[in-house]
Amino acid sequence: MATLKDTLEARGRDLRESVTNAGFTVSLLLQSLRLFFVDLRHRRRFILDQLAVCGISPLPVVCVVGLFTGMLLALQIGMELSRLGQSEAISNMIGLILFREMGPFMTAMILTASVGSAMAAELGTMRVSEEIDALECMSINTTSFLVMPRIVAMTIMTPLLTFIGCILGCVGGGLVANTQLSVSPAVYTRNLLASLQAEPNQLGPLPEEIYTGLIKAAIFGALIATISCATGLKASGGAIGVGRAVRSAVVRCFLMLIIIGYYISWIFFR
Amino acid sequence: MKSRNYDVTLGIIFFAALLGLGVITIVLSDFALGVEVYRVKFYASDIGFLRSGDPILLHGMAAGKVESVNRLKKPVLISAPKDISGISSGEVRCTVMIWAKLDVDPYLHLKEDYKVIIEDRGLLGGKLIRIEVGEENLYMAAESPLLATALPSALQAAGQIIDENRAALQKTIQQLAEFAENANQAQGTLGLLINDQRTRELVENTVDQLSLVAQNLTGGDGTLGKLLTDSAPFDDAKVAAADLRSAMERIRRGEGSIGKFIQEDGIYTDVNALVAEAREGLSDVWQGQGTLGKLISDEALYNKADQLLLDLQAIGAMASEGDGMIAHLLNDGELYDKTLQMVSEAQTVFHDIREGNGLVAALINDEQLLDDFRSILNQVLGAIEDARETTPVTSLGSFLFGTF
Repeated sequence: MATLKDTLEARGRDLRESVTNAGFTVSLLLQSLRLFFVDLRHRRRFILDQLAVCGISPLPVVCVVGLFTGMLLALQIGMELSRLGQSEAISNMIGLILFREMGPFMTAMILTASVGSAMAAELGTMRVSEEIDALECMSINTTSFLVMPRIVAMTIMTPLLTFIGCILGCVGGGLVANTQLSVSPAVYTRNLLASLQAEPNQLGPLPEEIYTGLIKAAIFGALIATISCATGLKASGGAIGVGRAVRSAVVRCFLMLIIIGYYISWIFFR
Repeated sequence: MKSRNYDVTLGIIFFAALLGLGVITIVLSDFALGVEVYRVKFYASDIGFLRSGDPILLHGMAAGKVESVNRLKKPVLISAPKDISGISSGEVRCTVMIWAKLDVDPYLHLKEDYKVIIEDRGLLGGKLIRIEVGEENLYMAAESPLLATALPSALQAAGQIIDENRAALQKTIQQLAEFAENANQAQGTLGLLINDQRTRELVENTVDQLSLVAQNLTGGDGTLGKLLTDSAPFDDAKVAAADLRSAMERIRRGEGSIGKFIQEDGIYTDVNALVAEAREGLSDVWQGQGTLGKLISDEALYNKADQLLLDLQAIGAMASEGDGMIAHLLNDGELYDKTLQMVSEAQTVFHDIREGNGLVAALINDEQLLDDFRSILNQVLGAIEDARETTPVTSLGSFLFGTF
């Protein structure tokens, strides 16, 4: 029977383990950032491979989820707005919700589930099968070889997938708005663009709302890859350990996406 | 082991950073790195449900937030800002103090006629403080107390207007109700129009006819329809307009009679001189100068002419009645025949004269004879003249010698 002391010791070990894992994750990110400038030329091929893995494989899922998310938003918001006689404002709501929050967060969730978990499983399997130890024995920098290309690929591909998902979400919302709320495509498009350019554009040709969403998506991509790789590299205990690492990576990614997402929104939109 | 300690340290820093961000974003929501904050207090007698966190506008831009609102234990008297004429409206008894945090120093902007207004943020509620810096030359002294004034909300203002005009509104509503009642009962012109079946039928017929007219017009029937649908009149008008434009162009270039008349200065000068002379002539006429002027302005002549006309009228009357020679001439048929005969004979006489027959013709046609006749006539005239000169002397001598 576990005593209070044993319980406190266990919780202390968990806390220490959490802090250590967090530190290891930050350390991995910092190393990858440094190695990006050092080893970029040598890792181009790995980066291209990871771009295909991170960008192509989850694309159909992102498209379908984006389209139906827009349709769902249009349906729910449109019903409430039509009661107030403001159906035409639906595109403003959909545009802002998708590009500010829903688009980056939705894409990050999909990538966490599809790509992040795969990264954790792959690196975890390599760890438990001592492949990573073998690489280290051959003086190959595992961070440069395994982690940095994944982080770079996710940082590049997440904003692109987010943009595609948001555009398809707007299209889906427009379909519902036109067919079920009698909002003409011209009015929908005009209000959508007006809502995205509500604030002065200070960053370039695209509306500011799109830029902020894409920056958030890039940060989410780096976060998912770093957490997944760190969790995979820390896996131990055979196949069970790999499964535990995958589950832990997904949970940590979700938590950090929510927390970091709030801070980013606070910085951009407060 | 060293690596593990490094990870622990990084982990602690990571969680500390997350915690710090949480504190900053949730607790210190107004935190802004590198921005200086100015705490300012406003005094007011009524703040109109202003709350902490409400925005403050300076120059129409967000410049800070209300930090807190405190009720004063003792009211304070605050000098009101000057108005446009530069006169302060005295002191205001304030019971509420508002602490505000601004990102600019308001005393660098506020003039002596500043305004701090607490007003509605929108119709859905909420308040804000709007600072108007004023236009005076003198700035407010630093740390001097600032007075804030609450404006009534739009709904309150509307309610106040309704209260002030309640009687008039009630009367208006009552009149409207009476009007509607009368209309429903087919009273008055509008009521009859609304309720009268015949009027309704008339209106319906009128609308039907108008609809028919519109159909005819769109079908191109009738003159107006043809005008609306047929492009020929438009084309004609277009051609006419083009011709007119061409003619005007020719006139502008000074071509043709009108063009020359308009463009050539000589003609213009001649016409101008002619008009001037005509004006002078008319002036003389009106002044009674010249024959025409006398005719127009001489009153005696007018009277004579008037009399002449009257006489002519009398003659006309007499003639119509058959009195006098002219009347006989006009009315007597025998005289007319005689006159015709006389004229015929005169024509014969004149024919003989022209042919040189008879004495008169000889006198006319024979120059020698004419000269002799003229000499004899002169001699006769001389004899008559001599007789006229000698007769008085002869008569006087006969009288004198006959008497004595």
